[in-house]
Amino acid sequence: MKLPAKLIRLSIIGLIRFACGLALVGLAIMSFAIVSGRPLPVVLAMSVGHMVGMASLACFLLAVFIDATRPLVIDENRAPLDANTDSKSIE
Amino acid sequence: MHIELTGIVTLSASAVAASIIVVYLVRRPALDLTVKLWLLVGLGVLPGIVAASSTASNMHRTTDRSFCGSCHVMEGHYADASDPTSQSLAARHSRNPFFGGESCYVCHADYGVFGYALTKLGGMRHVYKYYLGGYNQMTLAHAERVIRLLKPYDNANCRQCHSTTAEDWRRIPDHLSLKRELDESRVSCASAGCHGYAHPFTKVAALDSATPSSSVATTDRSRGARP
Repeated sequence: MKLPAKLIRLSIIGLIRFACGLALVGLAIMSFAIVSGRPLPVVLAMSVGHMVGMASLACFLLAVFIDATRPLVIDENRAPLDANTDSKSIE
Repeated sequence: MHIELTGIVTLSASAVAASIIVVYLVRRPALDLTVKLWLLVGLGVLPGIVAASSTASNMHRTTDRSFCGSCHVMEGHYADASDPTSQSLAARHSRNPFFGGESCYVCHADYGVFGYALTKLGGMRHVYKYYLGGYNQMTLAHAERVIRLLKPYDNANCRQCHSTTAEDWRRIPDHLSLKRELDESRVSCASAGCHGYAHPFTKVAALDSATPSSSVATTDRSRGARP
């Protein structure tokens, strides 16, 4: 597999994992505000929580977009990406 | 701890979304269409529901008197407003079911088309002052002497209920003679010579510590009457 294809595969999986991490953080912030009810968690939930959540969705959509345009750019096989993909398995 | 319906929706949707995400991270399935759709639900749809419902819940919670009283500098205001025996203007209004547990918000909210949003933006200033402006370092006694409204209380807030058009209101000579000043909030309804301060204990605290050269007294005089 050529290097650009490797990078694209890694970036797609990496982006989705990153999006998952961000989403978990955002969900935790917003949920904690409900349980806590203190001013600072409430303010953070409505600012940082929302921003982190939107960043998570943006990362996921970007990954899907890259994956959708992948065959047009470089990968003609277009097999579904395995989430276990890492630097060893694609060599 | 009371969690209302929107809060329950937030926690439920959050739990489901987190489950989807964790399952994906643990199992690491191939990224086919089904997985993408599940991730769209876990990263987009459910977090969207969480964001909307938590905002609704948090916005509602910020109107609660206990929320205002959760900062220690407002404990005196909270205790007085919640005291069933207090005769202060704030306490008497808080005992009115229309004000109820949201008495701080009902009296201090800006009204008008953008009133809700402007009030919440104003609340951000309170948060800033508390965490970064030194309020969290103040003792309650000191806070009651120095923390004052940013601008004189607008009588328009009183007139949301007290329309000033009723015959009973117009029968009071002072109301008629001060009509213009009241309309322009140059004289506060909640001032010493009228209906009394809304939070009179803060004025007592200020007077107790006031000296002719004290900055607090100077500040109070320069800002005029306020509740």
